[in-house]
Amino acid sequence: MLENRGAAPQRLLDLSSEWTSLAPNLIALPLLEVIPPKRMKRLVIAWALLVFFLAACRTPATPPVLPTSSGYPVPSTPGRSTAYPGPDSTPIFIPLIPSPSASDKATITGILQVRDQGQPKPVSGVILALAAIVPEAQGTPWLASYDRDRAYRTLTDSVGRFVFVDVPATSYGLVLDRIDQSFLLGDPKSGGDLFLKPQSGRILDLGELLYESLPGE
Amino acid sequence: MKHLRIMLVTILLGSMLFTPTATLAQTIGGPYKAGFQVQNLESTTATISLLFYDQSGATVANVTGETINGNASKTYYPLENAPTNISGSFNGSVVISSDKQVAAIANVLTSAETGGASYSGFTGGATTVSLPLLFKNVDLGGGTFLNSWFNVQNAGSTTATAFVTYVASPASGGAAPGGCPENQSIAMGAAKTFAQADNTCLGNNFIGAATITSTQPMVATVMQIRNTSADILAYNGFTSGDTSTTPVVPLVATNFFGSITGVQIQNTGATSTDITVAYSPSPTFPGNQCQETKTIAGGSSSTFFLPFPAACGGPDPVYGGSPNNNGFVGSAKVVANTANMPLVAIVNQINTGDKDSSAYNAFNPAAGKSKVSLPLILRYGNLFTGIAVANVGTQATNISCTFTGSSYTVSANNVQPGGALTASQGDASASALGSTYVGGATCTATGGDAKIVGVVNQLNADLPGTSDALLTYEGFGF
Repeated sequence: MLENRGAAPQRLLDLSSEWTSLAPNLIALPLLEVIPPKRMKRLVIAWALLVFFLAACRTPATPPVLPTSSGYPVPSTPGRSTAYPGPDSTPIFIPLIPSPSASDKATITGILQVRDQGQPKPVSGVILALAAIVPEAQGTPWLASYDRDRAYRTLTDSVGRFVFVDVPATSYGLVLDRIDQSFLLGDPKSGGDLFLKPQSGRILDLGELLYESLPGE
Repeated sequence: MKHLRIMLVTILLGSMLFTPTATLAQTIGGPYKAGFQVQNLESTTATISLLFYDQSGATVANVTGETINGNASKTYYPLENAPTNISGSFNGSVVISSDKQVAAIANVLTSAETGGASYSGFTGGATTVSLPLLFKNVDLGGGTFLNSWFNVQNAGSTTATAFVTYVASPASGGAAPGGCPENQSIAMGAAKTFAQADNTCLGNNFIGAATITSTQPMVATVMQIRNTSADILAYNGFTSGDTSTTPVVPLVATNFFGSITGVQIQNTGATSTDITVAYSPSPTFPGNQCQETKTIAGGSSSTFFLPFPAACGGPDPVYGGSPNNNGFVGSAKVVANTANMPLVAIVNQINTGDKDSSAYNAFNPAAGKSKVSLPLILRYGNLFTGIAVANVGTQATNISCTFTGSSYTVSANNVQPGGALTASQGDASASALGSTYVGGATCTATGGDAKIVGVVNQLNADLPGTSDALLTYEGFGF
């Protein structure tokens, strides 16, 4: 079951739609009345202006930021959102990463990739989960524990992007849940343990997690 | 308030610590990774502690205050960098204590996590433990060798010595002169490794059984490995409480889409006995009713269903026959045991095409219940399960299985003693489950004396042949 807090992709979709759903909602209400055509034309223009200003008011003063980016690589060719189409007709989708909704929560994101014929390939549609780090009596991190029914879980999207929203700011391991088995993912660069340490009120961007192979394959 | 209940789990973590001679490194395999899963069997929160022991018996870590919600489970992955005091490498054991009733399984994986095996934790041990199937450098040709090793954990209250003696099977190419005895002192809670490739007394190509004896209760888990693949097959050692004069095997399959099964039966008694195994094909699957009889000396073991008995079905794919998927899929039961000796058995399942493999323990018919819970059933993309539910009673019975969250059912009527209901959730006949089904099944016996047991194979058909994609678990009777 893909339950609870792990439904980040849907959450992303919902937030994105907030920016575009405003105008239809405003226009829908006046049409419930019977309005003469000439007045209707004026109303439409007025509503359009109002929508424009309201939309402008909804635009944040500063664009969303990723305050705790951990070296997310800058693409050699800057990507473009679909809002700003250029001469190249192939759009690049840049998802919005939601900020934590509370000061004691955090967001964790990254892109899961596997090397395929020498090239990074997105790993899409797999379940990732957060495992709690369990210390032994002296305080040394000793185990990662994964409770499938209660852990934060999410699905990677078409580019391998994963987002855990509003998680408590504590240490985690990253689990690849393949339904029949689950695996604790290590650090793809060092081969050692991968500890995720988000900070309260911030977004932890892990960047590209590029593995030579993934367990269970 | 429940009293403290102790689970004993033998697990292996990190690299093996054997002297890495070239031969040994190749035949023992590894390094390995291990994790374990603990389930709270009660409805209120359990608080557990975990004591990690190295092979000397020293406590290397103590994890306390871990909680598991009622009826929930947690999977624990030992962190690689945690045991810095043992250089990130650990071969040892864990003792789990809980204020609620808990159960545990351990998973041992290859370092690349492309193959692995599971086994159950123990609630207690015995002073005699039987291991039906072990290998030393069994040459399969082409540079492929089978080997085995096992860990013995002291489940008692004081340090004790575990004594091991071996007996070669009739088909063995290597001898075990004088039983090739070996022993190791094991501290309370700790585990020691016995690698058959290390026993210089055992001949190469040894196939056989072993018996462990001690003054303290011991538990043991065996790993069977093949040096050229990711295959690991695990099984737990048997105690006297596990024995039966007529064990039952719910699933055997040979010459059916690459499958091969071998059943290794050990006579844990002292007297030689003639064993007859009856094989019953499952409804809608290929095969003939057939039997096989072999003599097994006291303490020894013998292989059944391999070679494939000609009377059971199509050609033997292992010994020169051309596979045609018209072999046999069904169940097996010991129907004659002339000296009435206690028996135990393990079942190895191999898929020759994809080199998938798994093992499971045969059942004592006394363990049969009217219902069997199969908690994980899959029809999810290329993941799917197959179930086999055997009638271990003395009368014919009807078996019906329901699946959580679905109206899909499978059933078989008038299943004879020793027969089984077999069904694959990967087949088109199970399409009612959809393509993203993750659930469980409950199988119920009605009529006759209504005693059944079951096993489930889990297969990932999407994995390459270099991976071991087959897992097997035993159902829970209730």
